[in-house]
Formats: sequence, C-alpha cells, structure tokens
Amino acid sequence: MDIRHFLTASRALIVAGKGGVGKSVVSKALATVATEAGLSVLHVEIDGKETTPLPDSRVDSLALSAGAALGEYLQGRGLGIITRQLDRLGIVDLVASTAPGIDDLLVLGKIKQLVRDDPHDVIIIDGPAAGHAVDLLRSPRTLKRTVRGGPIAQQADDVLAMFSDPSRLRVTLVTKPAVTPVSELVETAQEVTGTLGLHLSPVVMNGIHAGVPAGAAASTEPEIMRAAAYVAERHSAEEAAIDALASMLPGPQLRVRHHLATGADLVTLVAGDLRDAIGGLA
Amino acid sequence: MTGRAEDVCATSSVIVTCGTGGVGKTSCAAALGLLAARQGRRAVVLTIDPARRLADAIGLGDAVANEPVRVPCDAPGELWVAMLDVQATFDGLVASTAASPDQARRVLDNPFYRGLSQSLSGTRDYMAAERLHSLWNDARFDLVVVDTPPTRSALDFLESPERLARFLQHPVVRLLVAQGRGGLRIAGAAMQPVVKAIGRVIGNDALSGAVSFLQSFDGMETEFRRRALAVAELLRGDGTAFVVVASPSADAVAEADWFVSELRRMNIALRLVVENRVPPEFGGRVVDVFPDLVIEREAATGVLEGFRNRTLAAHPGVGFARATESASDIHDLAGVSRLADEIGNG
Repeated sequence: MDIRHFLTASRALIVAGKGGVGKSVVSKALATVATEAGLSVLHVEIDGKETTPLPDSRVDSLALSAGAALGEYLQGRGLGIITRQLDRLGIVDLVASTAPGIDDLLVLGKIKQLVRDDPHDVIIIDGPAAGHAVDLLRSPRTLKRTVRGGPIAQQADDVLAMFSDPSRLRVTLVTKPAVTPVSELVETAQEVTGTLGLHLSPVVMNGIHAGVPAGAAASTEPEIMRAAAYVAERHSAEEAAIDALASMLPGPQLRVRHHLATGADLVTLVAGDLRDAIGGLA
Repeated sequence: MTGRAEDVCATSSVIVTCGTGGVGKTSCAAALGLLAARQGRRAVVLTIDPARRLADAIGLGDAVANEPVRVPCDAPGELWVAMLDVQATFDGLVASTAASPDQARRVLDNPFYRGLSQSLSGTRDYMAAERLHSLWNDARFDLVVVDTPPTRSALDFLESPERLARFLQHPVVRLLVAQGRGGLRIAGAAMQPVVKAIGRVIGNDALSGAVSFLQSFDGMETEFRRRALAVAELLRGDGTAFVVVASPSADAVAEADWFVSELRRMNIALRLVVENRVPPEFGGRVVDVFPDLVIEREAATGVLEGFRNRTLAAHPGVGFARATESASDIHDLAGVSRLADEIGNG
C-alpha cells in the first residue's frame, strides 16, 4: 500500500498499548515514516514523559496534559476571576471529582479541535501510558451518565461523533509477541471498536526476535547448544503469540523486528520496519 | 530486617510491589506470595491493575475475582489471589459505614455515586487502600502482597486515604452539603461564586446530583476518614515492605529510578529490588553464533550496575534479587515457581 495513502486515511491516529510494548517508540516511528514520505506531521503526547527524542527535526510536537486542560477550561468559564484560589482551594480537583473524566474529555476536545483546524497533513497521538488510554477513550460515555446538559455534554457528543468517523480518527494498537500482551490487546480492541465505536488501523506487532540462523543448529558445543535452544524456544513462543493474535483479531499486522538500539536510533530502525510493513500491505 | 527476599517475605505483613509495565511485576508479586507460602505463611496477592495480568500469570483465567481464591500449590503455607473490584469494594464500604440500611440505599442508588465509583481513578486508588486494609484485617491471611498498577500513578494509592479525607473536608463540599439543607446563608458566602461557577461548567444537573450524593453521604465521612487514616498508618508502618521491580532496559530503569526517588521523597524505605528479565549468560563461543545475546547481556549488566549504585545511595539498607529472562513469558504456576526459586536465592 502507498505510504502516503495509508497515513492520510485518517486525519489523526491515536497510538495505544500497555506498558513495555514500545508504544511511544512506535508513535514516533510512525511520525518519522510520514515525514519521510513528504507529509507534514504533528506529534502529540498526552501526559508524556519525554524519554525518547524525536529523531526527525521536521516533526512538530505538542504536549497535552489532562490536569492543565481542566485548569485552562475552568479559567475560561467564569472561574477565571478567582484564578488565584483555583489551586489553593483545590477547585480543579473538586471539579474533577464532581464530574469524573472531565479532564480526559477536555483532552479529547483539544484533539477534536486539532483534527478540525490543524494545518499538518497528519496528526500522530502518543496515547497515555498503560491502561489509562482506555479510561481516556471512555471519558465521553462516562460523563454523559452524570452530566446531561450544558457545554460538557455537548463536548462529549462532539467527541463521540469524531470516534465514529474513521476519516477523522483511528486507533493503532501496539503489542509484542507474548501471551499476556496479546490477550490484553484483544480485550482492548473489543472495547475500543465495540462499546466506544472507534475504528482500528492495522495493529503493530513490535519486537519480534530472529530465529536460530542456519548452521548454528549443527554446533555440538554445549554453550552454543544451550543458546540455540533458548533462541529456538523464544522464537516458537513468539510465533505462537503472533498466530494467536491473527486468529483472535483477523486483519493485517504491521510486524516490527526486535532491535538492540535505544533512543532516537531505535525510532529510526522501527520506522524502517514500519515503512516496509506498510508497503507490503495489500 | 535485611533486604533478602526470604526475610522480606518472612517478616512483613504487607508487601507493595511497584514497577512500570512489561517488567514482570505481577509475576514477581505472585512469586513473593509463593515464597511466603513455602515458609508456611498464608499469603494473598491483591492486584489493583484492572487488566487480567495476575490471572494470566498464574494460569487461572477468569477465576480471579474480588473474593480471594486459593491457588493449589505444593507448599506448607497457602497462596491466595484476588483482583480489586472497585464497585464491589465501594458498595461494601458504603453498606458497612452507613447509619442505616436506608441511608446505604440512598447513597448506592444515587447516579452521581455510580459515576464516581465506576470511573474516577482516584476512587480506584482509595478502594485499593480500603481492600488492602480489609485483607490485612482478615484472619485467613498473614501477608498481603499488593501488585500496584504498572504506571507512575501506582504510588497515588499511598496518598489516596489522605486525599479522600481532604476532599470530604473541602470548604466547597461542606458548603454544597449545607446548601442542600437550606443553610446557604450561614455557610461561607465567599464560596458562593465558586459553587455557581462549578454549576455553569458541569451543568446544574450534575451539580445537584453531587449535592444530593453528598447529603445522603452526610455523617458517613467521619467513618470514611477514620478508615482512611488507619490505612495510611498501615502503609507507613514497619510491617509494610516496598519492593521495586525493574528490568534492564534504559526505559524501564529510568522508571525504576523514578520510583526509587519518589519513595525516598515520601520517606519510605525501599526493602528490595527485583532485577527481573535479565538476559541469560551462556559463555563459551556463543558470541560468534548469537552476538545479539551477548551484546544484550552486557548492555543489561551495565545498565543494572548504574541502577544499583543509585538505589543504594538513596536507600542504604536495600537488598537485590535477580531473575533471568525466560524464553517465553510466564503464564502458569510452574513459571511463577521457577521465578520464586531465583528471587529466593537472591
């Protein structure tokens, strides 16, 4: 598939995955792939930790935080007159407790605004860490249960409309080839596409190790035989996890190899694998 | 009190494991519970993570729920597992602190309560603390191992009892309760613009829902506060041991460093670090055939050495245990048992 076509099928992609699967690296690598294909890219981090730098200086980046979004919203809504008191009295916390999920919804509201107004060709969003991505995506439904009218309910409706429109937003789920990450991905996929009404783009299977190289199996040295057995067992466990995902969640997978590099070098290598994988899609 | 894993399991009544995602924290929590069971203790492992990692790690499938389930294992003691159910815990707490069944029903039926108990992550933290406290009080168990969520916010639950107590004493909350009773003129007039503005932001519907919730809750907060403070005391006590689980990648160690310094900031002594998923060493001429295995092993050793030195500087009495990366991830009791062997050997 043409890379530009793949990346512009939606205005924005939210990259989500549990801890340890390489979600942030994959989101930065996708931004790199898009830039190299000649697209202008905005990379958005939600409550990010900024551990891996972007390797390509042409990618613009933006950080969103739930707490800041709520504070900003309250100041713009008549609580501005008592700005000084907002923090001292813990008003931000109070509103967050009175209307749970409001801060997450405001982050999604900002994403909705970017999707509508931002001049970049594509927006890649590095979702919040671990299980919080699903909490974030659940927030409009949660809020609609407690808040029935007013600006917040309207915001929730607008965000839900964006969820159901794959030309505006899709979710890229990232996992690695092991039993638990795969079963967690399948669970997340079911909720995201079912209850939440979002659309998925192909999943990323990240960090696949190579098998035993030809010839190594012939060695009779005990250390090499032990190492070969370890590599072979790891390889077959990973193959089994990849097959399990394919049978539970049919559809294309973008496969990325395990790389020893770290930081920006790792992002570059993952970007190379993603480019090949996207190019190989039907 | 040494930092050896065996001693931590033998002497603690609560063990809290922290670590980022992907380091095998849940498997390590289960392994520590198993180590205690081997010593003849009755251990329950409580996972706060809503994902089914604990169930997967010991191969129990859907059998793990809010009520502890006993895991059949070959040990003189007992190993139990439980998964936090926020809703059930909150409902139970309301039922046991309400002055009457009628008050409990009013709270439980309030739509604001349903929203609060289902979605707020702060509620999850507090209910985790509450559940920990009730398991700790449970005569069936000698040790509770708490498997915290795999994020930085894992430590939020340590402060959640105080946070809830603060929330219930919040001037605006007190005002909202008074307002519902018609006492608006008496309650601080300075807070009124705040109440009006909150109503504008979240809608008066939600605000009145909150008001009637807080009213039906009235009187229960004293008991909530008392329990909250009891949990805070338990977590700060000598019987509670904190364990950080790390794996030797740059990202995972950066997160482990954060937990180490955060515990230091909170004045909590770290007892044990489990260095998990360390690539195995094969020796011989393996480097000629599988250079990656050797490079990875060496990189891991280097990363962990720096981490050890930093951790020792922050927590001088801390112990270290090391476990190697297995070829496939742990998803049955046999895997947990092998992990327990390695952690137990220090």
